[in-house]
Amino acid sequence: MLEVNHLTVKYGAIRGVDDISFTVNKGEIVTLIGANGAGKTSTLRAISGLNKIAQGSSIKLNGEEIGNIAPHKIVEKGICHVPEGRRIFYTMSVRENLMMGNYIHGMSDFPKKLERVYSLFPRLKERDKQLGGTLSGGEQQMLAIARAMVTGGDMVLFDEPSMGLAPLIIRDIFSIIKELQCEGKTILLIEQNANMALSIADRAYVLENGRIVLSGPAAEVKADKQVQRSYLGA
Amino acid sequence: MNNIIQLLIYGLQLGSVYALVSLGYTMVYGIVRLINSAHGDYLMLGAYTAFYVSLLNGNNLILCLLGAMIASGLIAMLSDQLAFKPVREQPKFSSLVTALGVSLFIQNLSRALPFIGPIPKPFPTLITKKLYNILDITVSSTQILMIIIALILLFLLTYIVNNTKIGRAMRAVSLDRDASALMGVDINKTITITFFIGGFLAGAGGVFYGIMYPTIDVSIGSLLGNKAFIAAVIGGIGNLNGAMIGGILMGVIEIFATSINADIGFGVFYLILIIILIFKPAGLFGKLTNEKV
Repeated sequence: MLEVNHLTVKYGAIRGVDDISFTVNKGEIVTLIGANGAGKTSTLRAISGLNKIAQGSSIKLNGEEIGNIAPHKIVEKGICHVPEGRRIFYTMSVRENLMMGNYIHGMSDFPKKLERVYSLFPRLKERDKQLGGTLSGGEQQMLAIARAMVTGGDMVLFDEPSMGLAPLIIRDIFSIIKELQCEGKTILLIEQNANMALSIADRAYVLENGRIVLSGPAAEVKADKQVQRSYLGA
Repeated sequence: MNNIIQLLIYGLQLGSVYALVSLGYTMVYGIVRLINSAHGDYLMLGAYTAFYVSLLNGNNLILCLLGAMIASGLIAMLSDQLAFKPVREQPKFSSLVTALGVSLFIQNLSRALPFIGPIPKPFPTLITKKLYNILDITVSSTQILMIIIALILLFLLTYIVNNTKIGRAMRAVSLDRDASALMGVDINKTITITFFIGGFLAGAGGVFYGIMYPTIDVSIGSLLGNKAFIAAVIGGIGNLNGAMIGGILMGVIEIFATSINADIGFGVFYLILIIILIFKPAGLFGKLTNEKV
């Protein structure tokens, strides 16, 4: 479904992402793991159009090149991105945040979508009129996910959904990601919490200094000695 | 007592002009973090548009207002497309200097254009002045009409920003540009629309200014723009309610100050600005924000 070839992202002279290629097939959960500064977020931001990609890079969604189009057009093509640090709109209410998620669609379907995400996240329903900035970290992450669900692309990019959250809430968040897969969404997940990510993913790529150093089915990557030492604390 | 109420109404009239202009400053600042020093010049061009609309169509207030507002809005949009958009990804300093350049360019080009020129023009009387006596207070039809139209515009703007899709997009872009793009918001289009709305309101401010002080020249923009900018800062730049209340407040204060001594009117503006910046650096309604990580 998503095909990334020779992707390079430059920050001045520095190559944040250096010539990486990977694919995500329809219905899969694929995870990119790696340490801080490995280039995970840059890769995701390049896919959703927020980062400029260097020449020679190619990003294809269902065979169509999306490497050089504006972020708002990429959303319309069906990629939605739950960004790092949640990035909800702090001075908007929970409902307004969800309305922003619905931006590219008409309002006629919105009540149905609202009902659906509220049944999945009852905590958000209770806080319907509350401002986004007053929610707890876990609630903000739920709101960010709910907002992306309202946007409704077939492909969802998750950037560190576990960041700064308590273990119990992380478990909830991951079970929702798994549920999204069951509904037929394709997921690209970036995590520092490699253990959690590998436990729900189908396949994994390990990034180091902007390069892919290892790839394979999640179970194999999890069993790799080097990965265990570097990322799983074994 | 009657005298005070009389001054208050006069102050509201002037304040509503400031409010209309300072809204544009605050909206543009909110969305692109740019202090657009060319904002006053949009209203100057709007005032000249009204001048020519009245020359062609007679003294029709609504037509002149619409002409001025649309002209100012389009010029604001054009200046965004031609001057600000190319430097949008550059450091903030570039757009600040660009804004100064746009302002100087508009003023000096206008001075050179034959139909504007360096010589002040008399602004037409768009509202036939009638005086009403209510409980010994004299109110003119000009004052009533101006305050009502300004209030309608302010209300309309608040409604658009708070309750419509484009308004939500404007707020979202001012809060978090990347996240808005991920929602499918066309950032450049939203910014351009914000410039248009800011210019649109400034156009009304220009016409009202011409009605109150019926001589227009190329520098009215920087004079009125300056005051409106200070009003926006006093209200808390980036905050819509702040700009409206700041504008009205400063209008009232200026009138009272001028009634005591005709020369200290503008001085009071700066005095209040300094006091506010010392004690409430983010303005009356602004919040000093700490980035939450």
